[in-house]
Amino acid sequence: MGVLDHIWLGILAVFTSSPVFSIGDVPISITIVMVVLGFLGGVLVGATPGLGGPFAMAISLPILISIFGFNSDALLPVFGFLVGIMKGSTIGGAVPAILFNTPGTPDSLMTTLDGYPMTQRGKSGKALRVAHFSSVSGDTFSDIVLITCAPFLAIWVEQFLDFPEKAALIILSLAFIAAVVGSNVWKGLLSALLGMFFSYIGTGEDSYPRLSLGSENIGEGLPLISAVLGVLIIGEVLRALEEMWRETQINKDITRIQVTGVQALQFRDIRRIFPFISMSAVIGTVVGALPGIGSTLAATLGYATGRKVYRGKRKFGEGAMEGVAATEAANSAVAGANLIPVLSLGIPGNVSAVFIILAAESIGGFNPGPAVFRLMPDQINSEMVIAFGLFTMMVFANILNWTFGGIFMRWMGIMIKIPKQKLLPIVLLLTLTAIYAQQTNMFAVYVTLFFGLLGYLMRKFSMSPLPFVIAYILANNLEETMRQAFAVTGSDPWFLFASPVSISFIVLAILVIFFFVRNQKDLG
Amino acid sequence: MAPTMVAWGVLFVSIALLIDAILSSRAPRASENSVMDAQSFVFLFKLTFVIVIALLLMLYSGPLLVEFLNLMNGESNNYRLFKGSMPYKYIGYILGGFVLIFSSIGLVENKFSTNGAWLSVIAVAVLTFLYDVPFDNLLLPPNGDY
Repeated sequence: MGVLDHIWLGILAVFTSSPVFSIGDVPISITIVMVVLGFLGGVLVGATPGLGGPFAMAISLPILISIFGFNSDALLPVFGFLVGIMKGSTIGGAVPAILFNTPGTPDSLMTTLDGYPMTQRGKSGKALRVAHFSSVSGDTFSDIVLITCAPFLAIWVEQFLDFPEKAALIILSLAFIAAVVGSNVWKGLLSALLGMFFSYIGTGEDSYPRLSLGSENIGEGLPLISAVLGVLIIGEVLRALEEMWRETQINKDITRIQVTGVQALQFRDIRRIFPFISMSAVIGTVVGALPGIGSTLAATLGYATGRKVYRGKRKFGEGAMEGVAATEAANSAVAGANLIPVLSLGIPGNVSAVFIILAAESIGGFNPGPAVFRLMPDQINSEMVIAFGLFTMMVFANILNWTFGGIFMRWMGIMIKIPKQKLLPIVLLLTLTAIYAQQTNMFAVYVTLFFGLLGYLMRKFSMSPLPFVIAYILANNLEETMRQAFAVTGSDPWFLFASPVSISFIVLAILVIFFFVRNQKDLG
Repeated sequence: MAPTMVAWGVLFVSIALLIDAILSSRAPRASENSVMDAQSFVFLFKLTFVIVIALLLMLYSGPLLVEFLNLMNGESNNYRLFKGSMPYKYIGYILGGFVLIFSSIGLVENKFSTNGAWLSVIAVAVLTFLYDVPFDNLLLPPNGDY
């Protein structure tokens, strides 16, 4: 079976499997319904300050798995919902940033700089349309790069990298993520090492589990979902609750601003913002393809580059629509490109990718990595069909974004009225309930709270939780690959230095750490 | 061997962080809210108290109700028999969940309001409906542990 057969099967799987209803004679599959629902939910949570795509993914995953079960048929509907959330939340985040000067998601912070001044000038409608157009353009560009690059990169990795090289590549990725995320390289490394340490609990090839302290529960290993949701969601909830607890209640009345002038996005506006969208889309895609960097840096780089080349009358920061376009195109272009390291290398680059891997691990039948795109003569590679199904869903979600996204986005201004101090305790209970629903064990709830405390402390000490989570996911894979590398090289303890490729990966990892430590000193 | 190597890595990086902190005399760049101070411990203590009380209520409300009914009726049932039936299967989750949400809101707002109480009731009811009613295979806490 060739690549085209797999692409066609992927498209068919998305559009024709398990129809739930028909529009006229056209059956609508469950996967399509899930993409639409996820998309609507994504816009909703993106527009709610204090929430975001990861919250929605975390809460919905156990419910989705309960609905669809633990079989490979569940993969596409569950992925569809997650993809929908991913796409919807990227456009939703701009709404409160533009209308109320409150970023819905961290990467929308730069959108406030020009979006809110536009609202103050009575151009909120135009600002939302610019944000929507730029965001969807950046996202579409990024998806095209993902769809065309990921399979080739995966095939290259599969052909040229053996176990020692793969182990060296994982070490390089972890070093890179630890070095670039956060303000301090050493803290990034510590975060990653702690993630690895906790993931080794209750594992190993001995007759007894490692690091179990004699406890039967710990001996079975700490649940992945507890570690991920604890550090990412509960840690953030605790930090945000404390921040609000410290603040005295400030009751600001929202000033009603009259909308004036043309609000529609005209062709001349598109001509003005197009160069900024193009630059930012490339920046966002490159940043997104590198694991760990994230959309906040992409937005900052996109905005800074846009400001450098901008020659208009109204300055950046005073309500220039080019500023909104540069930011939104850059942060949205990260979304698709972030899946390049997941699908080609099996390495999650950001939080959304972590949830795709979490869903795949929970359900089974799909192991993101280079083997996904392996062609087998006279045989269908079901993982490749799923991967092309994932691409199809991303394209479909983009079509939704282009057609209905703008309308939904403008409706969501109402979400700002939900007070964060009332919302976050509900998110706390919701997350704990979601964990229990999946694990059916109070031990998992206690583990989640423990990791929540750890995530809170990491944030208090300016240590990014992302290297922790990614290292937690990759640690066992790294150990397994190293074991296999050790075996295939005839028990050579220097297997990481056995080939020029693995040597160059290890040298690169050391150079990355060295470069960022030096850079950090210069900045200091 | 892997945990040992990682533990050595943690030690090495911690020493590097310590040396880095000693050598660089610059003031911490973190914002006020990202500093661990006495206020943080007070907040953590209060929130931990709320969470512990909520979890205790969640775990033991159902079994205690059954024990109370045993005393009243002179029977010797245990919670395991009732964990799938109304109202026993909801009582722990609803009480614990209500206390968790209502007390957390009260803690953050420095006041306990009727508004917060209603919101907590509605939120717990919605979550109960969301997780329990449509799915036979999902269990609300703590029913899977009994």
